[in-house]
Amino acid sequence: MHFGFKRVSKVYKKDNIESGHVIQKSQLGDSIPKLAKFEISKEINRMRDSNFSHEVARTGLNAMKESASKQGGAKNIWSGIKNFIKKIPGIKELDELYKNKFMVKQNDLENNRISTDATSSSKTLGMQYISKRVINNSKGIEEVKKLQNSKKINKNEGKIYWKYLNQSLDQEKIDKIYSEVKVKISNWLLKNNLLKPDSKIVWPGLDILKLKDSLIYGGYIIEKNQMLLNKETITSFYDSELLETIIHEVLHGLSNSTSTHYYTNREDKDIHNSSVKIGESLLQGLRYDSYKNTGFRYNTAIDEAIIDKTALNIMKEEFPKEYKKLNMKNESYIEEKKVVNFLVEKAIKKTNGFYTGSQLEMKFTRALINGVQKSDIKFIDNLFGEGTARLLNNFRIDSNANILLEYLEKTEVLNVPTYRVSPTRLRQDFNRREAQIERDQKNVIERKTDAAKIIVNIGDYDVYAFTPSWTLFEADDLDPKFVEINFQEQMADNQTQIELSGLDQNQLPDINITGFKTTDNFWGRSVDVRKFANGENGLNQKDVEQTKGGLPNEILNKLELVVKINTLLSRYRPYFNQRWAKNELLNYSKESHSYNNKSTTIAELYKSIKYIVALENAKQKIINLYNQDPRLALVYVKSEISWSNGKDYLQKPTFKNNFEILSLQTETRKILLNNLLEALNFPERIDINSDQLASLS
Amino acid sequence: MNPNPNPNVAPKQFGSLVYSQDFILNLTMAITGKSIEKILLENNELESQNLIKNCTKIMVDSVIHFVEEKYGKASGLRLKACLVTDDENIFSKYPELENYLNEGMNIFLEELESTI
Repeated sequence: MHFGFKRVSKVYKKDNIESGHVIQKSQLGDSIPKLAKFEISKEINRMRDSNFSHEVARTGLNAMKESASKQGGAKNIWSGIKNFIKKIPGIKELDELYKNKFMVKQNDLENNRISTDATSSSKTLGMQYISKRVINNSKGIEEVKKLQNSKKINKNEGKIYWKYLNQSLDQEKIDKIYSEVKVKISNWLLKNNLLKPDSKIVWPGLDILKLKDSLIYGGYIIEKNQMLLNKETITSFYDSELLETIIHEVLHGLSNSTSTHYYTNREDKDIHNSSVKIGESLLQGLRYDSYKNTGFRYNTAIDEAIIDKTALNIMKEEFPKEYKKLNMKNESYIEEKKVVNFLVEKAIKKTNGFYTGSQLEMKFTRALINGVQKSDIKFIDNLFGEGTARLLNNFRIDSNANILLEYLEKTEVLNVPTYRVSPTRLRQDFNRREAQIERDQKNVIERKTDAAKIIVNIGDYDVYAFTPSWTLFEADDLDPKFVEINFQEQMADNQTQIELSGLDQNQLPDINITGFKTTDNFWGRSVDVRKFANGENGLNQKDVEQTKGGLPNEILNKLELVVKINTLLSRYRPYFNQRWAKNELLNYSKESHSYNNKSTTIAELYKSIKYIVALENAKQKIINLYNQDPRLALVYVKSEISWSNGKDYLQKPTFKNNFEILSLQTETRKILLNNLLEALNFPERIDINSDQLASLS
Repeated sequence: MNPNPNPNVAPKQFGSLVYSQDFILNLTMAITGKSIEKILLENNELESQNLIKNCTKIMVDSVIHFVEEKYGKASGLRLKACLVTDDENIFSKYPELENYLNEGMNIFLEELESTI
């Protein structure tokens, strides 16, 4: 929920801004402005319903008045309510902000202890940028102009602008934006395997004050120690374009959010706009920072420079060499930009938003600068019609962009509606399948019971399995020649056991005890019951004892998990290139995590669904290795899995601690591994004897 | 033995806490027009807590907003800081805050009264 006060402040200012009036403290008078009063009433009224009693309210009010009027009353109350206040979201963060930064700066500002070093050229950009793009109230602009005229500014003085930024973007919104940006960056890093799943990001650079700084310095100077991420993370890829990509992702994430979750009300729209604004500033700051530190010239930075003359001027002043080079290239960049923008605009429409602007921009820029890549020919032709890729390739950037554009438009090549992928259709497809699964499940009686009885008929034999804590399904569409399942609710006991009738143990067939599948391979993993039952191929005596006629709970739980992972994968796999599919998968994993907390191990494994994308990548590698030699695949998987508590064989971020298969015996591990591999759709089981496995441990 | 012989005087060491708890409960009554018992009966524990928190937030925001508007952002932040830091001396460092706070509180009470 939100409260109206911040909004009131904004409206109040806006009214004054529109009339060109600068708010002075004295003009506020002795009471809250009328609008603010109105809004407070509104908030109060929201808390009331038809049961509101004037009498009760009056009693409460009188008691409050009495408390507040006592000696030190208001002060005591104020100090005392912190226990309540601390529980209000968003207010905790203020603590750090206050303690670490703001207090000192505010004092400095108040005492006018500002450096008067006028040599830094950052003042120009800082002031111009802020007055142009960020400061959106007359007071700020007035102040900026005053400072400009005073010519006593250096970059430290930029902090004074924050005072006004703080007014135009209130704290609550900034906090929200900040957390939004953090989440998006974290997700992006995780998605791209750049971050250990269990590690915590230190955010010194994306501290809210750093965001402020990036605004303050006009998105231009971000000091070396004010990097986006912690130093350790950043140093490895700072020179690459990765950092920029992250920010791009953030920006696109923010701007893409417009059409889905946001804009539900005016406040959200404001937040969104502010996010983009901050993102832009941050991005620009980083571009220049990279430029300054690495000499690497980002196209985007140059684009910005072209668009933003102010930035270009600053560049001229501070980086004369680079500016000279840049200026020589200016013309061609402008030409290239024209074509790319044109193509991106068309492509976005044609693909119905399937690709982000940056993805398209990258492809077209690449095509124009380096020539069309082989992999892009199909893409471009598919998008705009046969022959377009060749056309772009031939024109390249040395040709006049206007000629190219004219040509493209005249021939109407760009208007050929050939693109076939529609995210909406994919979504519909997915929904249809989900609905089908739901319908199928309605035909199934779901029973959650501590002990259920499964009667499996195979040929002339009956096998009874009692499984604890399982969700069982009575399905009509089971494969009749394989299993037949019935349930009996009234069980004598809830011990795990398999009873056999008319069959001696050594004759047990392979029984797919989880094979009571409904549709779409829903519960489609199998377990070799015979091997469990007779202790062959694996289980030691203890395990055999445990599994007498059944499977140990721990294994059942893990199998259930593997089944669920596979189920999820199979349902979402066809849509894996869709962002929503990944998001839903992640959400599902969260729910599953909280739902199934039977054991720590299970919980950890559930968490691993989060890294399903990484799993997908690993799967391919496992399959490749498996084709060479199953043992290689095993070694790989083993090395990626933490096999014993506190002993990680590899420190790779992707899999570290994803699968914590702890304190299980070697043979049990092997079973689990096999099931894991099965979950990854391996063609057949790996069969390695215990000695081999032990030698790998 | 009665540990607190005078029920009208809060125990010294917990003075502010008792004050504020009563105050917050009264505030909730004044805003919602329902007795605390009724609130607890009608809602589950979490909902009741949220209701109380929201009422408190309305008051806090209102007072801080007033102080910020009239006396500047810094004063508003200092008032907030009283709520989120363990620094008890903010009122000593900035004695004027107490007056600002009293003023803000009175304005809020006036406003609240006008809605009843």
